[in-house]
Amino acid sequence: MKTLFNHAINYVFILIIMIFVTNNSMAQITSEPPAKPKTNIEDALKYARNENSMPGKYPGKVVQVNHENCTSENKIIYQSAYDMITKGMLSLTGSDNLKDAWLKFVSPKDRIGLKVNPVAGVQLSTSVEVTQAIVKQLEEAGVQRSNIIIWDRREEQLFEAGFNHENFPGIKIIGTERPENGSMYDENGKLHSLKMIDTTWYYWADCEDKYDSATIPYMVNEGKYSYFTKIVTEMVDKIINVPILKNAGSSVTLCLKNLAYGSVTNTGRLHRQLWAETCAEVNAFPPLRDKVVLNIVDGIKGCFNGGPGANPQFFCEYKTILVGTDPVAIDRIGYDIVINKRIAEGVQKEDNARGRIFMELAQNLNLGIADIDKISLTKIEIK
Amino acid sequence: MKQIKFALILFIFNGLLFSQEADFPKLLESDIPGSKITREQYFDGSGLWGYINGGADIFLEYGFDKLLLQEVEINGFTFKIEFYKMINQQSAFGIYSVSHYKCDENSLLTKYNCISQFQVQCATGDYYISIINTNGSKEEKELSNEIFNKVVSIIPGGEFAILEIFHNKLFDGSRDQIKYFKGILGVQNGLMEWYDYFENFSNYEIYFLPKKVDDKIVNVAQVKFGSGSDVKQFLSGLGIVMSPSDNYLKSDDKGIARIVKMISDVEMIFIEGNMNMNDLENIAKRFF
Repeated sequence: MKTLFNHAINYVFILIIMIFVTNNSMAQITSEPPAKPKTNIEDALKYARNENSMPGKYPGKVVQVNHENCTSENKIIYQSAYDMITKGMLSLTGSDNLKDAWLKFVSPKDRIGLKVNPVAGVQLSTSVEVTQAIVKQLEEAGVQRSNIIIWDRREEQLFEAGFNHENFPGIKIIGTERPENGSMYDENGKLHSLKMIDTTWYYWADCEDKYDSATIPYMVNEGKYSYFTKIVTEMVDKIINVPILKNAGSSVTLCLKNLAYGSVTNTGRLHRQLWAETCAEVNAFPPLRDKVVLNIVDGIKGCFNGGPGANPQFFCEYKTILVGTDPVAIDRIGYDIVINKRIAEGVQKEDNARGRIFMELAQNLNLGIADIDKISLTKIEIK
Repeated sequence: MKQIKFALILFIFNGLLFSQEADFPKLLESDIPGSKITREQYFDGSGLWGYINGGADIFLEYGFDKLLLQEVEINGFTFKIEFYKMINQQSAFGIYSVSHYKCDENSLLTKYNCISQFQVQCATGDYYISIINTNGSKEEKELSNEIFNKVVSIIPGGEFAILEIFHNKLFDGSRDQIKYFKGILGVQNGLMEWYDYFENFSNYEIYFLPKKVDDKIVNVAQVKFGSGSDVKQFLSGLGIVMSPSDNYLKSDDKGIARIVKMISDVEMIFIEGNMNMNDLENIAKRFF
């Protein structure tokens, strides 16, 4: 009886193993994409929205200002950049006065952060000229230079891209990842950057990477948490997002990507598995969702391939600026500009919907409008 | 005693690191009269994120070992020289193949190089080299070429050899367009129309070259997968059912004809064209 029982147990055991193996083989043959790691996006959705929350005052509205003569000998003409932003601001707000247009988004007492993208050197970063034009218009609206911060993750790259005190006197220029006295570490071997992160705000995702000693200064921490920088949680009241128009593979790195990947630590782990989710979900957290009041895409120069890295083979002059409060709608318009250029240049044959997934995710989070048919695009040409 | 051992290990480790960097090819000020090296920085492994953020991912996908970044000033012009040491010649060629585009000219110094207004690129040995000038002027371009000549002379190792199939005469004049992929980021950058084919795979290699034959574009690739089950899955995704004895398969789907010739259990020649099967088979005969 005991032997019979043992046999029965063995058969059941073998059966279980067979089912397990068969299931695994089937999984291999059908090879469904692995499930996405879980994130804490539900935490973000618990916070009530306010009047500044994305997509801001003008959902689905994008102004595209083109200027045929905004560059000369490979350099951006400051006055052209100023004029393009002026036209964009007036058209977006319907105002006939530039100061009034700006005051719809900021007040003189606000501490304002300009989120630029300096990661690809002086040739493929948000331009100094466009940023200077924005600073000038903020000043004309009554904002003091001492209330303006230019920021990104990498302080070193800000300086390399021309965001220095010579070009921006009186304006604080700061990065989350920053050295002090020439070193990323303090005398106790701790990263200075740790002082810049706010551990009460984080994007959690069920994936992680180990970073070597050369990488950790650029990631700040390992593990499953990506912490928000204090620049967004404490140091600014309003954010003006100023990305550059460029591709990221067969998608784009514009408003949402510039904000999301520029505001949190430990991003290396997120690139491969959660690129689209990160672009959308990090923006759903209040420090970004409720503070980004305006997006001005510097599309005077950009690239159509090789991005987000800088490969001069693929640099181009789009000679355009996109203005709006809705980061998703702007990304959607910018996406078409870049993809059309890629198709025209022969690096891509046709659009592929995969490149738009991050915008659809953002739309589902009510951060803006990704549906091209629902976006109101105004085009202005300056001769 | 333990402290002494630790110090010794640290000393040896640092020594090894230092000697690795000392052996790394680089430009010296004495190589080009009047030049001044203003920046010299090494990035290892995923430390590349520190230099180019998300741009690092594609290098890591191809297999990245170490980067030396040098900035050089010559006659008031600034040049950025990047020595990317990849894990092997294929990887160096691969990153070059998806990074170059329209070349104004090619140098005879190496097999794979591309000279354009702002940049000189090449794959030689295990290295992908990029030399970038600031303004694209005639003088800067000439100086870039001078730097290139010097740099190429100090890189060790031979040239990446292209696969047998691409030696076919039909490819004369277009071999500089061969692309090599070993991951989805590369495919995204250089072969987006095949993204859907490879999205759910890993551990594969693709050598790809499109060719215009009789006024029609034919995509020719040699593809190697990590396993036989990946091969089956790849083919079934294209509507091709494979039995174990098959080594020549074909499908005709919505005006796209495809031919597969297996060259091992995991490797195939894959030919695709926007045409009917008869036309593609006639063309394919010239490749096989």
